[in-house]
Formats: sequence, C-alpha cells, structure tokens
Amino acid sequence: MRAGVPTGQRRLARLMRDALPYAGLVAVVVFFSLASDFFFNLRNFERLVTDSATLMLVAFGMTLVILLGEIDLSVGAVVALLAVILAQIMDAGFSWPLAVLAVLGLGFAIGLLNGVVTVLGDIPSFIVTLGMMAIATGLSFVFTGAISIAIMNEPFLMLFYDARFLGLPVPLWITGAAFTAILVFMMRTVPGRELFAVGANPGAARLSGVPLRRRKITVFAIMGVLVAMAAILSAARLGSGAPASVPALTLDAIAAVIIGGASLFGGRASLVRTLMGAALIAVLNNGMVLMNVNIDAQYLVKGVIILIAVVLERLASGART
Amino acid sequence: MLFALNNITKRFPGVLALDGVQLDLRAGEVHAVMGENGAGKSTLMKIAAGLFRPDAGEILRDGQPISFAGPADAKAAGIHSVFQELTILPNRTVAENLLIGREPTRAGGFWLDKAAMRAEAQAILDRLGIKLDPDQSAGTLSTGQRQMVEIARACAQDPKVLILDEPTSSLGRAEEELLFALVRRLRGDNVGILYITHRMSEVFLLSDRITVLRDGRYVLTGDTATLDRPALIRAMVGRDVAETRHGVDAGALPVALDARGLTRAPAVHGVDLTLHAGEVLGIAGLMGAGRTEIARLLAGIDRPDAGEMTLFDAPYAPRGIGDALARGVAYVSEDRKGLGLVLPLSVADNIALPSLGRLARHGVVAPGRIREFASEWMGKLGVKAANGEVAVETLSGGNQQKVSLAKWLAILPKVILLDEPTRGVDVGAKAEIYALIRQMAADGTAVLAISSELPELMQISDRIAVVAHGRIAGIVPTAGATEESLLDLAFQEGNAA
Repeated sequence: MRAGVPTGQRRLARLMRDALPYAGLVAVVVFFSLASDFFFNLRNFERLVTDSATLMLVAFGMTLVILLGEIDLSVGAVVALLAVILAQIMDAGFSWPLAVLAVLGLGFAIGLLNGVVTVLGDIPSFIVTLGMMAIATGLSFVFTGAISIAIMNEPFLMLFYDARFLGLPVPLWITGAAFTAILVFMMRTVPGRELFAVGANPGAARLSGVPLRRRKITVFAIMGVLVAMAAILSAARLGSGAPASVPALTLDAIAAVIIGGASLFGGRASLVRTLMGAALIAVLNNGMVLMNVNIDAQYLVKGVIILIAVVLERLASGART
Repeated sequence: MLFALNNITKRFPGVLALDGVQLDLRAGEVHAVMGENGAGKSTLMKIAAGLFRPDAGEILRDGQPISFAGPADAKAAGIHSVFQELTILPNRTVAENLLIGREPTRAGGFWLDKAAMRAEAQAILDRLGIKLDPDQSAGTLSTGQRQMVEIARACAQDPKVLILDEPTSSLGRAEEELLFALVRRLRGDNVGILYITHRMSEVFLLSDRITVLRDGRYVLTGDTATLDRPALIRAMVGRDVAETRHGVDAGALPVALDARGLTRAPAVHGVDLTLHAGEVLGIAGLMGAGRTEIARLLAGIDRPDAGEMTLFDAPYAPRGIGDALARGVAYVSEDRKGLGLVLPLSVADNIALPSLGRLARHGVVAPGRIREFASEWMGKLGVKAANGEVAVETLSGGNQQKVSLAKWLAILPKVILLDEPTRGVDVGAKAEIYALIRQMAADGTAVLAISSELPELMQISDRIAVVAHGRIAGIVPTAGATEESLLDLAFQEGNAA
C-alpha cells in the first residue's frame, strides 16, 4: 500500500475529522437546549455571539499560524495586556479612537516581533511566543499593580459591546468582516495560497520561489492585529482592563483550530471549520456556565474534545510524515 | 572462508535491488566492490552489516550459516561497518562517540567513568595514529575528521570483517594516507575488509580482489593483479547501448547560460560550462561528483564562492531562487518528494505554485483560473489524474514527475535544469518524459539534464558533460560517446586535473 492512498479506515477517519466541528456543534446545541431552560433563546444566542467574538478573532489568526506549522502561545496574555493599555490610555483622559489606534498599532508590533524573532533567530515559535506570553503577563501586572482598571468611556463601551448596526451587534459585524477578509486572503491571494505549500513542504515552497520568511512574518503580524481587535472587544465586554483577564483564550483558540481538523504539522487548515470549532467551544463555555458546571470540569470537557480531534487528524493523515 | 554472501536477493517496492548476488571474503584481504550508481553495492553492504534482511540467499560466517535480525547481531559476529551516512553525535565529545554503547563505568555500572573513558579514547586514537582531542565536541569536527572518528570507532571494536563504504569521499590527502595505512595494518592483522569506492586508483592501490556488480547482478570476481582499468569499466557497463542519438550542432545555437570558473567549496571547483538555447546538455558523473551542486549554483539556490555567469549575454548573479525564476531559469529537483512537490496539496495547486503571481489579477487569484491553467498543463504533459483537485500523493511516480515538470514548464522557462528527471519513474513513463525533454529543446529552451543513468543521457542529450570531483572532466558530443568513454572520464582522478 503506497502512502497517500487512503485505505477504508483512513477514509472513515478523514470523514469523521472533517465532520467533527459540524457534528460536535449540533450535538452541544441539542444537548444544552434539552438540558437547560436558559439556553435556546434569541437573547442567549446574541450574548453568545457577542461574548465569543474575542475567541473567534484569535482563532482565525491561529488558523493561519497553524497552517504554517507554527503556534502562537502568547495570544491570551497579549489580549489581556492590550486591554490593560487600552484602559490606561482612556483613563489618562485620551479619546477612545486614539486608544484604539494605539492598541492596534501595538498589537501589530508585537505580532511582528514574534514573527521576526522566530524567523531571523530560527527559533521554534513555540518558544518565542512562550517568552512573549511571560513578558506580556509580567507587563500587565507591572502596569496595573495587579488590579483591574475600569473603563469609564461610555461611547467606547457602547460602540464595541452594546451597539447594533442593521439590527446586529457590532462585535458580530467585526467578527464577520475579519472572517471574510481572512478567507479571501487565504483562498484568493498569492501569499495566502502559498501558505498551504509553506506549511506542507517548506523546502518545495522555497524552491518554487516562495519567500518563506516574509510569509511567516506577515502571518504573525496579521495575528497581532487580530489579537488587538480581540483585546478591544474583550475590554468593552468586561468594562475593564485587567491582567490575566482571559485565562482560557489561548487554549480555546488552539482547540478551535484543532477541532476544525487542522494539522499541527502545518499545511492543512480550514477557516470555515475553525469557525465551527470556535462556535463549538463558545457554546460549551456558554452552556456550561448556564448549567453551573464548575470551571475545572469545563477544562476537562474541552480537553477530551481536543484529544479526540487530534487523534482523528492523525488517523486521517495516516503514516504521512 | 571468513565471510560469504551467497545468492542474495533483495527487493524494494518496485525495484529488484539485488538478484542472486554472491561475494566471498577471505581473512587478511582487501576486497573491493565496484559498480555504477545503482548497481547494488550499498544494498549488499547493508545486508552484510545486518541493516537490511535479504529476501533470499544465505550468509556464512566462518562457513557457518548465520542470520542477522539487526546490526547488533552483525557486530556480535565481528562485522563492523562505516557507511557514507555518518552516525556521529554532534553534541558529544570525540571520546563519547568512540565508546558509545560500551562506556566504562564504575560503582556497579551506574556511574560513567569519565577519566577511564578519556584514557581509553586517547589510547584508541594513538594506536590508530589519529590526531584528535578526545574532549573535543564532535560537532566542531570537519566532515573528514568525523569520518575518521567513525572509522576509529569501528576499528576499536576488534573487527573480524570491516566494511568501508566510500571511506575517502570526504577525506583530505593526509587523512587518506592515514586511512590507507590503517587498512593495510588491519589486513596484516588478518581482518577481512570490504571496500567500496568510486576511485579506480584506490582499488588498484589497496585491493587484493575485486567483485563487480551491475544492475543488481553479480558480474565477476577476480584478482586485482589480473584486471586492468578497461576490463573493469567494460564489466561495469557491459549492456546494450541506446539506438537513438541526438546531436544538434551546439555551435550554431545561441548561448543561453554560460559559466566561467564556477566554484563553491567543497563540491564545485572551477566549472566552465556553456548551455545553448535549443540543446539538451547531459551531465554525467558519479554520485557525489558535484552534479547537483553545480545545478544549484546555476539555479541561484546556492551562491558561488567564485566564478561568473552570463544569461543570454547579460551578467547573471542570482541572489536567490526568486531572482533566477524571474530571469527564466527553473530547477527541477531530484528530490521530488522533499523539494519538488507538495504532496498533500492538489495537482492544480502544485502546478500553479510558482506561477501564482502571473495568474493574479490585482493581487487576487481566482480558483477557476488556477483550475484552467493546471488542466491546460496537465493536458500538455499527459498527466493522468481524475482531475486537478486530487492530491499529488495519490499519483504514481511517473505522473508525479510529469506534474513536477508541468509546474516548471508552466513558468515558460528559458533555461531548465533537470536533476534526475526519471528517478522513481517506470519504463513507459520514462519514454514519455524523454520525448518531453526533446520537445522542450525543440521549442528553443536550453535544457540541462543530470542523470546517473548513462543510457538515459545518451538517449536525450546532444552533448554530455562528465563531472568528476567537482570539475568538468570533459564534454563530448553524444554522437561520438560510448558508455565506456564516459565512465572513463567519470573515474578520472581528482588531483590529476
């Protein structure tokens, strides 16, 4: 049997892997609808969508990063740090647009730094972003003295949490716009298409004239901007900036991509399935809170789902190395 | 008889690597094993060392049948080997590498005895006359020095049979002399030595007997004293010569790519090469002669230490592959799976990969455009696949190679460098690829084709350049070339040039 030709077993695993985010989403929605009186109603769904915007944005970026065979462990810590900075800028009396622009610029710079150190230092992004995670966490504690900084700027809170446009919440519009932009980038632009080749076989991509380093740095920079957007929505939702404000975000974002059937070795990822994976995680988070499941048990459930997704991915890709 | 391999057959998927081969080794002799690339020498040696298990045949040690479940069994039987792929641990010291697996210990085998280890390693190095510091980290050694550590490790284990696979390929002159002295000393100690080399001079200098293999078959065994160079080359080649010969008059064609004094240590030394638009220039040479390294310089993948190139009479000094591609120079790697294709991606994505920029309108590539483009080129090259959306990894070797060629022809190159264009391709697809290569030249492309198969080069090339030891040993028109004459050039001695 030649490697690459799917056997019956592998074909089944492949089918299950690709169906997992959809089937899982349907399963948890049905489960919570039956198990909780508070789950299946429009108000809860709206809150779910608004609350999950942060996760969505970060998971989209993580899809690109994982497609390259890289990882970004710093996202949760950087979201918290940028939210702190955002709150402090407004606290110092500056206008919200200035604060938002500053945070977007800072997010871009942090992503760029992650990318440049990974590429030019030839260091695994695993290590680089682990360092960035520690730095961002440390800085957010230093800046705040470990207390949360309230955001009093009403227009900001209004716009990025409560406001509606054409009847839909603004965070949903922002998430939708980011999704569309990244989907077009991945599927329809030259650098986007090249990412698949870079992730699956960097050697062949290089010989095909793909500038590997530039592509990697670009992806980390995009990730940085998405992290900044996530920080803005997260700060508006919580009404404050605080260190360690989103403890599960990094894990949830990686989980969403993995449930979406991406390969951690690179070369395989789907933005649509990441969206489904992130929705699955968001519903789980929402439903378990509604049912008063304690936070440790929530981690356990998510952990099991991630392991199932990873095992299916390995079975589906067979002995390919 | 010290050691004998009888009737050994070994089959790999799709290839019969060894077909009833025999070899016998006496105590106290140096026995050279010779043959062209792919003749089966290395496979046979790996069977002798217990790395591969033969599908059929018997192995005799001191006349007793023996079988090896792994290299440890062979070592237990006194058979030690040094292969081209070095197994030195770069983060360990010379001493640790020399004594790996049998480190001296104290306190009941729990603690390593560093002092004893150092002393023992020093003793081994002194005994063999190798000047190395046992405490030096192996990662800081030159390739030649690592080779010597590897050889020392094998010698230190008191071998009865020693297998040396191309031991001099990375050694300098002084190290070579040291190795020859070592081999003679071991012979004096009644060790049997199996010696594989591509260097004819070493064979006549060192060996007592020679066995020649060809295409996985046994050809002959003879005393070195009774054999001469032409006889050996005849034995190694000895097959039908291809009928068709091409031979456009290169002098009448415009010069496409011209290289003068191209050098990149350690593999390429002062290469002069002229490639004309509309010709196929074949590159012959033994494994490790520097063929791929020359192509990589022309393709802008590596940068030369010295030398100059022109492309259509304009200076050509690519700073990277991107530069070369932009100038219309494409390189099709010999390593199809590692560097050529992105196996899990679709045929269409693979074909379009280097052409994406050209297919984009305002930065956006429509998937339909990629599909169309790919199916056009799949048609031109006769790629057999259900459609462009199937993963390349599901295709046969021949079809994968056609995808690889399609991918590069699709950028409409002016110069195309083909490295082993038919590796892993079955006979039928080979003929189709030969026709494609001739078509490229007929269309005015300058084609450079590297191949380890001489009949293949004779069939596709107008001229053949033979590379030996990183130099061009000669360039001959295919019409006047014979396999014997080409092989004679390929075996030219490095330091004679």
